[in-house]
Amino acid sequence: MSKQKQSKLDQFAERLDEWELKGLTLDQIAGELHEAGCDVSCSRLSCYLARRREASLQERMFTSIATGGRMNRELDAAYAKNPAPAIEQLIRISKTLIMSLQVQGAADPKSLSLANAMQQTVLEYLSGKTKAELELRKLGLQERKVALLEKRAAQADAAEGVLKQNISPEEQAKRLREIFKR
Amino acid sequence: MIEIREIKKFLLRAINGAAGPMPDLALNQAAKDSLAPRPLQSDIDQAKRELESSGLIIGNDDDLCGRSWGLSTKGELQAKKIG
Repeated sequence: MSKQKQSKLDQFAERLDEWELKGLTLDQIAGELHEAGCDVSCSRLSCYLARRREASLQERMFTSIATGGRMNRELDAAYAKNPAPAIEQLIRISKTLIMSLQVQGAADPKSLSLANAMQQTVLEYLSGKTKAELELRKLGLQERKVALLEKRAAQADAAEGVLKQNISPEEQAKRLREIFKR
Repeated sequence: MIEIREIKKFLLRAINGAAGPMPDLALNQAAKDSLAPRPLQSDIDQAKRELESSGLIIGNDDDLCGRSWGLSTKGELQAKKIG
């Protein structure tokens, strides 16, 4: 969230973060600022720090939401490769849960790893399903090839039989045409 | 008490950040966790109603996943202005 007003404390932002991390009290931070040539009351300092914490929390939240959005787009892309209606509901539920976990993750990082694990599981499932369907299609193609070869072999056998028969060339030609017409 | 205007700004940015449908429950949670003072659910609902009636956000109800929100074209423009 952008700050509405510039503050004289803005130039000390990084050092304020450090002092807060060190666990300095408001009085101590005000003292440090005084030494750095900036006089500020504890109440004003408190308001400034609260505003910064809120802005930082919001930024974390927006980052988390954006990550959730990216993860959901990845799921959409994986689903687009294999848009089976049976898994459409799984994708919808997963996307909703991932976004909820990402939002919770802004405050509780454990939820972020849950969101990641969930997305990976769904992606792996989708990838496995796509591969399995591809294999199934390949198998179907192979079966069709074998059936075609078997048909050709049967036609050749029948043609050979016709050629061995003692019949007129016209009759042979007629029977061969019938065999290869099938 | 936080102003509805501030909640609306937050909601627009959050939905814009999701870059896709934002589940209602997650949106409520995000607003409660990020805004100070923590907004009331009734204020969040009012902010959503106002955004929807202004044509900035669009709700979509799903039997399985509940309600989710997306931005209209006007909403996208507004969200870009907010930053």
